[in-house]
Amino acid sequence: MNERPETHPTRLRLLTGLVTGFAVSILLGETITRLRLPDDLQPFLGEASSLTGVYRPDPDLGADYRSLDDFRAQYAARLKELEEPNRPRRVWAWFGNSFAQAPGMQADMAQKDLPEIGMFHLRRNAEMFLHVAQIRLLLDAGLKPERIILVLLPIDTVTLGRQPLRTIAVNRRGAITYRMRLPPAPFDALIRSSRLATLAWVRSGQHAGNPSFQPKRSTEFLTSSVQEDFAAIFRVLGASAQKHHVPVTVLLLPNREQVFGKAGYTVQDFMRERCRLEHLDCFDARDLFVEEKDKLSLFLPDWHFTDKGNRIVLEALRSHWMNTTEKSAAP
Amino acid sequence: MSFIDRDFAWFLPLVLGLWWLTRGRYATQIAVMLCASLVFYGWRQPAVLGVIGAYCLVDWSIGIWLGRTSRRRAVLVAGLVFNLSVLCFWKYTPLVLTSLAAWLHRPELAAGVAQPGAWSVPMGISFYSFTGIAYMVDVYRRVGPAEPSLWRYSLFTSFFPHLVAGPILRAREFLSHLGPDELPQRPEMPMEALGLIARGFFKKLVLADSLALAIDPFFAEVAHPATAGIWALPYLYLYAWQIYFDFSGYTDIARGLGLAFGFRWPENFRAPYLARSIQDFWRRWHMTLSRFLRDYLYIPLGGNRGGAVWSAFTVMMTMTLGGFWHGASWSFLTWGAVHGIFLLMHRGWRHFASLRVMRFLQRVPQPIREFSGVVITFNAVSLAWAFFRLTNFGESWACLRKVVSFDPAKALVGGAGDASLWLLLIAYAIGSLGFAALRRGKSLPDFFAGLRGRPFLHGLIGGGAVGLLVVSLLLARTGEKAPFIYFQF
Repeated sequence: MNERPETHPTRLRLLTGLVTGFAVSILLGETITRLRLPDDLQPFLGEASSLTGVYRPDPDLGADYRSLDDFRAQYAARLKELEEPNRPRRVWAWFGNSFAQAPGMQADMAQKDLPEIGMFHLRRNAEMFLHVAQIRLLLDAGLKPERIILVLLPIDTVTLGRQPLRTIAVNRRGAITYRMRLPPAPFDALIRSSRLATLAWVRSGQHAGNPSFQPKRSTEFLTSSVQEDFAAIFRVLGASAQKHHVPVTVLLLPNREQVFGKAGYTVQDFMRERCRLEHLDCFDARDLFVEEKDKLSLFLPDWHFTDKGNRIVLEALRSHWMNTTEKSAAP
Repeated sequence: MSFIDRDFAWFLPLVLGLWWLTRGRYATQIAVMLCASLVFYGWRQPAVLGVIGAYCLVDWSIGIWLGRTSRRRAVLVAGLVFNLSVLCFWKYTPLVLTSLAAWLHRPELAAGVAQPGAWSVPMGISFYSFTGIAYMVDVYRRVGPAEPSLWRYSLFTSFFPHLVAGPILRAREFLSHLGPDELPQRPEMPMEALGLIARGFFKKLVLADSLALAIDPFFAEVAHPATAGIWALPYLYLYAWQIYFDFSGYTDIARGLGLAFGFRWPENFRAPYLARSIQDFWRRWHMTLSRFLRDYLYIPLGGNRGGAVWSAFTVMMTMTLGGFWHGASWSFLTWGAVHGIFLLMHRGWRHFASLRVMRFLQRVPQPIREFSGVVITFNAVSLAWAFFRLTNFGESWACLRKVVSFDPAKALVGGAGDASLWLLLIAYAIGSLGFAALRRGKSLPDFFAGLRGRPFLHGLIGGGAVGLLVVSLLLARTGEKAPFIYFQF
């Protein structure tokens, strides 16, 4: 039997059905998204986000702690250690990502090798600008460590690379959120009005302050916005160190690509220069790793450093301090 | 590889494209489907391709041998021993070693398997060993012929849409369609295929994964004081839905992909939580496994023949082995045994209800009787899931204790107290009822066949399916995806 030829009204009905069906599904998706807001959307919803936090906006760092009490509440257990009566009088304060604070890493290794000095660290990862906010807050609150060590790696540029400081928007509930980059009109209205469209936009990666940022290239190339942000952060760090007369050392560690010769050192070069400008002590550990013959023995399977890797850095760091002290003491 | 892997997004169009381009060239088309299946299976575990290769070769040879020998029973037994030994080796070695180590107080016996991840079972091994067993038994029983081509037989066992978690296919449902004159050359009911695939992804990525996120923390700490006072029943209800969405979602995608390649495979789920009795439940849940257990275990053991006691024994045996098949743990075995007991209780109840003194029951209106049956069955099945979800026996008991002993003040704490989850389930129920009303009692194939004369409805379903697929992919959990639950079996 011959099939009935498709007529204009038939095609129109088919098309109407298609559009209606699609719209119904999208409406369903919109409802579900509003009912159960995905976690990865929350940091981009500003005041509409249900996130809460202990922060306030800061003109230099983007965000800072609202108050010392809020900070204390967040790190009560760690701060309590500073008040223990039998704690060593000398204190070194370590800040930075997991390479500084994770169990067995730099701070732990230093504590093991130098038990006479109390190694203070917060044991929690945070964005790099927050570490500087922590240093500023603790120094302003009267913490007087013998020295402060801020550990930095190329990975610390990644968040700032994607979301420059200017995109930080602390909401009324104290949570750090980020202003989304929006598409041109009229699509921006769609993103503003639909949570499902916002989700699609966020998951496409186009929402980021700098969507073209490539983390893999961050060791080779620093965008101007990353440079500006790091300059601002180092300015705050330098000012705090000078204000409170506490020596701060910026410890620059290489990542595995750099150690195995697959990436350059643009990040470290830039940071060294910023340290010089802000009169901050800087120790770049790149040569220690590059000169090591058995490079694999320096890394754990998750690419953090082994005891050997951490010890090499710590010993070299202590020699560096001895050298700089001698130099400064020389006539 | 899995349907929810990112790589599947390029794999499927590529394979479908190659399949389409090789239409009319029989040998090439078979080769494309077979190679694609091997790539799919060996993507993350290339070493275990040898296991599936051995299964294909041995089962095919046994089939051929059965067609030529006069010692058919011995050959069949050899084939069954091979299939079951390889299956048992992979699935039960850790359990045997850890049990022996505990009984003999020699922990070194379990040293190689005790650590998580130290022993990995080849993906989907149960499913293709069952497919092989069904094939050999059918050839032995002369229900179907022995397959002369190794390649066709290998494709029958390993075709990627059904390889990992079923449906468990019989030769006449798939192998017989792989012949030179029967091999489909175009998709069967593309709209139905699209609808099934979209529904499957929605069930898995949106429903099952949302439920998993909400209930996993409770089950992880079920025996810990942290969950003291929390009511376990809502969590078991939610788990019942999670496993349904997860497994039936996989089957929907598998059946949809089968249709895309022109094959129609049997249903595996038919609204199982609307079952009015436990017997009805097993006719609606994992139907191809129930069918396998009935035809290749229960009936050969004697089935209903041989008196009430023997029949009860065969029910218990079938269900307990069925439970044990799911995993190497005493908890799975208990789950199967509990279902066996439920089935026997149901038999007893049917007998009791037919007595003269129980006639008054027949005066209860039919809808009330049916509704009560649905509620009782759903609750029984949900309670039994405690042994399935928690493979540590002590944890299962702790969970069941929390069903009856809880603090009303914090009964609905945590994921089960999230109203949006329940709303999602209600929305799903409304959507399913809406679709059922649209079908007006027709089967899915009949319904989709009837769409041709109804352009608006045709478009509505098509547009809805595309939209649902988009929504599912958008709402999918970010980061590491939760694997399909049945992949571990």
